[in-house]
Amino acid sequence: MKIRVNGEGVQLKQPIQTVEELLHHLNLEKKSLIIEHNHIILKKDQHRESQVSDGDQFEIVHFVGGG
Amino acid sequence: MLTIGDKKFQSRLFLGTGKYPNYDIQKKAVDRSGTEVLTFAVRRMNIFDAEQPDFLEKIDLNKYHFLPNTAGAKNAEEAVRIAKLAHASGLCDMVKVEIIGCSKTLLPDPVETLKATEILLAEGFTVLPYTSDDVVLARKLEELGAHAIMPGASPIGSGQGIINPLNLKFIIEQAQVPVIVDAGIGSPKDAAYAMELGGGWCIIKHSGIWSKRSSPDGRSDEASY
Repeated sequence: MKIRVNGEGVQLKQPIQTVEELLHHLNLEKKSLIIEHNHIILKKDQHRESQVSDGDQFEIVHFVGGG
Repeated sequence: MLTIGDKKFQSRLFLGTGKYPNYDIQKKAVDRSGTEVLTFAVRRMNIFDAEQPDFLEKIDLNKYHFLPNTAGAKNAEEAVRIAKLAHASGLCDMVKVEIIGCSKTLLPDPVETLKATEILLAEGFTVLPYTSDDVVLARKLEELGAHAIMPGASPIGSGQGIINPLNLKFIIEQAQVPVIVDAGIGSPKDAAYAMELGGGWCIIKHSGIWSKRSSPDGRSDEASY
């Protein structure tokens, strides 16, 4: 299963069903972050139900210091 | 009392984040500043570094209002997307529209700023556009419905202070919404000067000032504000 995350190809060695599982796989489940899945911005409560498929595109962003 | 959209603030200070030596000092500086609003930016995460620090983890999320900016956007479309990403965090419904139109001076793009402001207002955001000290542009942003105007004192990061006080005074005099003097504030004196111009409701202070002037425990400059 191959997806694109933040512009880079990511090969997943195990099947991933949902965005929540993907975050767990990437060890990011405890981070404050926002996900755009195939150009659709997800709210946190949508992570569990949003289905991941081969070829999907993700943007994962977070907050950094700024003025 | 500062009113922006449906929110009321006692403090006239918005505090920038970032550039602190570490998050502990940032937390102390934030706590002692008395600010109620923290600004931040939205960036791609390095997904291959699960240990990267989270700048929010030391901040009491229930104590502050958060003002994301759209820094990094080069046009209205990108700014709107960044605003929506930030909003999806559930932490904020205000946004500072920041669209850089010149890579050399970092001055904002007036046309794209107007476009983004109009779109975000239509979508229900509380919009605070960062703009140059152009008096007419500030008026047009307010006419669109912007909830506050954020004119730069001088170019971002320059620390040159208020280079055109007359324009800022005109902007403050004509505005019916809060005017928050933004970029280029280089010292507490600049911040005080902006307030003296008459009716500048509050100042956004870039964290660089704080980090340069504060002691390691984050205490020293709070009295200046």
